[in-house]
Amino acid sequence: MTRGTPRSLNAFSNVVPDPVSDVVPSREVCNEITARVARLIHDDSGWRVVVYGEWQSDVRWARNVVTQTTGSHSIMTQVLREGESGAGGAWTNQTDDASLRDVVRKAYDFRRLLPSDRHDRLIPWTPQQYTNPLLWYPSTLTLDAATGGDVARACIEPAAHEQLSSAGYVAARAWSMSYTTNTGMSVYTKQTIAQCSTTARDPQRYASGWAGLSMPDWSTINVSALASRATEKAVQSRDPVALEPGRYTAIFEPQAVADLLQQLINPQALDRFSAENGMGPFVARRGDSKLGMRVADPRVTIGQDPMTDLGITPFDSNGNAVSAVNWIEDGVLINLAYSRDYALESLNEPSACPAGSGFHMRGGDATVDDMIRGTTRGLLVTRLSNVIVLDLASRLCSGTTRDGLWLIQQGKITKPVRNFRFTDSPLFMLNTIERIGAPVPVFSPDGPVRVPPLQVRDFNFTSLSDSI
Amino acid sequence: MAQVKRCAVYRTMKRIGHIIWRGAAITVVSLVTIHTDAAAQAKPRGAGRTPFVDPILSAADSAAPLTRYASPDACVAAVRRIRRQAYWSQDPDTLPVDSDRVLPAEAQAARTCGRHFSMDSVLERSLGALQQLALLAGDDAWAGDVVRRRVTLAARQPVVMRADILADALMYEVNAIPARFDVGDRLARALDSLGADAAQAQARAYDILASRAMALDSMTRARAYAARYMTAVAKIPREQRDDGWARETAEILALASLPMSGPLSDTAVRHYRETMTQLFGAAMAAPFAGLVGLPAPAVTGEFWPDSTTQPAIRPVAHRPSLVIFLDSRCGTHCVPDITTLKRLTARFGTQMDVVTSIQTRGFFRSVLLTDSSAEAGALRDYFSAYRQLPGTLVIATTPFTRRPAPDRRRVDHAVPTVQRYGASFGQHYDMTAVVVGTDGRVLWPPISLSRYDEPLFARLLGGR
Repeated sequence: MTRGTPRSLNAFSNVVPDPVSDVVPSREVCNEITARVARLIHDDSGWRVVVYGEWQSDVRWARNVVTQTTGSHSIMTQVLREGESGAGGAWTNQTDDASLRDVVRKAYDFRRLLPSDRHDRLIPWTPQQYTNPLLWYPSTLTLDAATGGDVARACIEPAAHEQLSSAGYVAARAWSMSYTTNTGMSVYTKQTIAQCSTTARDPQRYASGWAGLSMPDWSTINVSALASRATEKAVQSRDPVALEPGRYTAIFEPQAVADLLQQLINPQALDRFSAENGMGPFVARRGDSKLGMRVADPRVTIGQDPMTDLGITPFDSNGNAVSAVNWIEDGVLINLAYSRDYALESLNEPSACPAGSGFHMRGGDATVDDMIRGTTRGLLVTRLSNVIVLDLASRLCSGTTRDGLWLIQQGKITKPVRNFRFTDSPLFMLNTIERIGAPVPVFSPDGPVRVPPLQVRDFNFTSLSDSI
Repeated sequence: MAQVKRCAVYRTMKRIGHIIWRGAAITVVSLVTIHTDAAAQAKPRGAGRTPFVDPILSAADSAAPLTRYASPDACVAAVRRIRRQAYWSQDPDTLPVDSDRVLPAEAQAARTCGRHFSMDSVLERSLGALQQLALLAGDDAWAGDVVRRRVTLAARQPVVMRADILADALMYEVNAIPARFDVGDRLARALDSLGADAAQAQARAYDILASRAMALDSMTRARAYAARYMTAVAKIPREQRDDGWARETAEILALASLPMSGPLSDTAVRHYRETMTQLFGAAMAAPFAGLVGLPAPAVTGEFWPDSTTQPAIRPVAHRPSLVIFLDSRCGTHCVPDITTLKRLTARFGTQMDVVTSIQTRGFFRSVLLTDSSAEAGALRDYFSAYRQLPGTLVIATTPFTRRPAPDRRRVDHAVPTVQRYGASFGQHYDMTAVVVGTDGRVLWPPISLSRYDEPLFARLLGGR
């Protein structure tokens, strides 16, 4: 096996492995495991088998030296069995017949232990139309420990040149997943994700800069550009001054926009059933959501599309197809996510509308430089950290600015400033937009996101923060 | 006539099945069998008969051996599983249901499991579970010892906690099968002696006693307990009162005005309505109290899947009737209620008429069914053919509109039967029954068709 080629996971099966692309179970391997499980189920209960395989490799560094390299392979099989009133499932990370037999029995036992008034039917699925986006990039599989070391060096060298201390990580992950049910439904995906995060800090003075990106295709991540950006931000943020907290015009770089917007655009906040039952940010009045109502600036359109290059998985954890849908269009809330049970009961429709693993926001034509030039007094924000939701209804959040914050005066960046704690809502941000830039992918390990930079007025920075 | 024949054949088949399966179940459970693959994967009984059968519940319980359980609480849970399993084995066309008797296998399991614990080895907080085990085992002496131990240990506690422990012990005694009202009364007196500080626990205790007494068809006793409940409640500051208990027990007081047998007089009806209105307010009392004493409204629908001829007017004249409201979304939740209905039907046979009203929803059991006749067919297959729901099934097509886009939600409108009865009973997770007398008048406010009210139903249907 050559350097950079991960070990194949398919060695246990009779299927001839491809040493590069089969680092995760292929469709054939998943089918083989599923067929073996199916043979072990002798009654006519509903069942679902999920085969999930993962390969990952990462390299971490801190204080300008590599501190850790890890790599792992795993394969998991879940068997879920359904009776009339509910379903029980069990996982195993073994693929031999005895383990599969054991997991089939455990699923059976867990199902039996459920109270009889449970009502979470998972099978059968309605036939669905899945999209087939390009999610598998062999270039990402080359990111093994050795390549990761090269990446670490590329990030450390420019920082060290400026007497800065670099820390960060680069990681690659590939996984595949198959869902099969006794009703004949079967869906399979395999995908890759690469991510690089680098921070440069001045060990002697108050200064920090950060850059990062996550993309399915490793070849699209320009490491030297990220390293330069982090170093440049650290150098320019040396010796910040303290400003009075208060409401400032804020220019959020795309990463900061994503950090805040992810508190609003996620499956929990977008859940239609919750909204209609008085929970979450999109509650209108008792029994009604804000569907059809304006919730943001008319220039705001936010949605999901599995066919983009962001790497959105084409189905959710229950096998429901993720489709292209706009949640907010021209500032109006036009869709919310819902389960299959909701679809059946409330809409008399056969399919769910799940919120996928990522989202995109439509952009404008302004650049960050334009925004700076157009700002009399404001702040340029690199990113937000430790963002937590204080109030689920208004989505009021709190967190701190990190890794580079600058004061803008009369159209120019004049000085770095100490970090702030903020207390504000992403909904407020979406309603106080001055200018919108071009959307770009950002660092988002939990799900792909493409958002633009935003210039927002009256953002609420509530106190000084000691974060760097 | 066809229906009568079907019921008779069905009962005979079930009786034969019971003999075979009861023996098998007791053997399986009392011998504490080890779970095996073969047992777990056995082809379920009835699998070829219906697509709805739950094969998982047909296998032996894997909770055995009982000796492995390290606490009385775990034992109680295991015994309950055995109970469910044993019942299902006896009655394979339903899911497990509770009953008013302790099965031999259940009592044996409680004894076997409980034998490993002594009162000294059990944590104080687990004494309640040990008491339950003793009661399940039918060993009153053992239960008495546990109660005395609890009372002794409780004496070290502040009054409020002591009262809670007494009320807890009372609850297990009164909810046991059969109910130990004598022990319950003794514990209630002990609670009374604790004074006003224990008012919360006293109210809880009398609420339990009143509810259980009513469930067991003892209205005189229930009335007396309800009155003492009201006395205890009067001692509790208003902001600390539990509205749930208050409603339930106040309703017992109101129901005390209605006779459970003999003719339903206009005076009784008037008194009942006045009490309900006084206790709950006119708006809240109306859907329940408003029906009592009135001629039962007609039950109508587009589909009568069990009737081969022109459907008769329901409820029928000159026979007591049960008008059941059933939500098609109520799957396994309603199985115990269906079993209650089967028992009543088996007991009264053709002397009683049963009509069940269901309305369409556009789907049934995870399947989209936009065509009403297709949904009616699915409902018939499930409730009549598979669940053997007794009586006549009437399915009404629900008129609905949709909210404008982007909402698009379906908004159901009341079907004529619901309009006539004034409220949509039996929504979601219960079956609601209206008892109609031979004179065609509603005899009792609509109540859930639970096993707890089975004696009441029997009295109302048979006593007139």
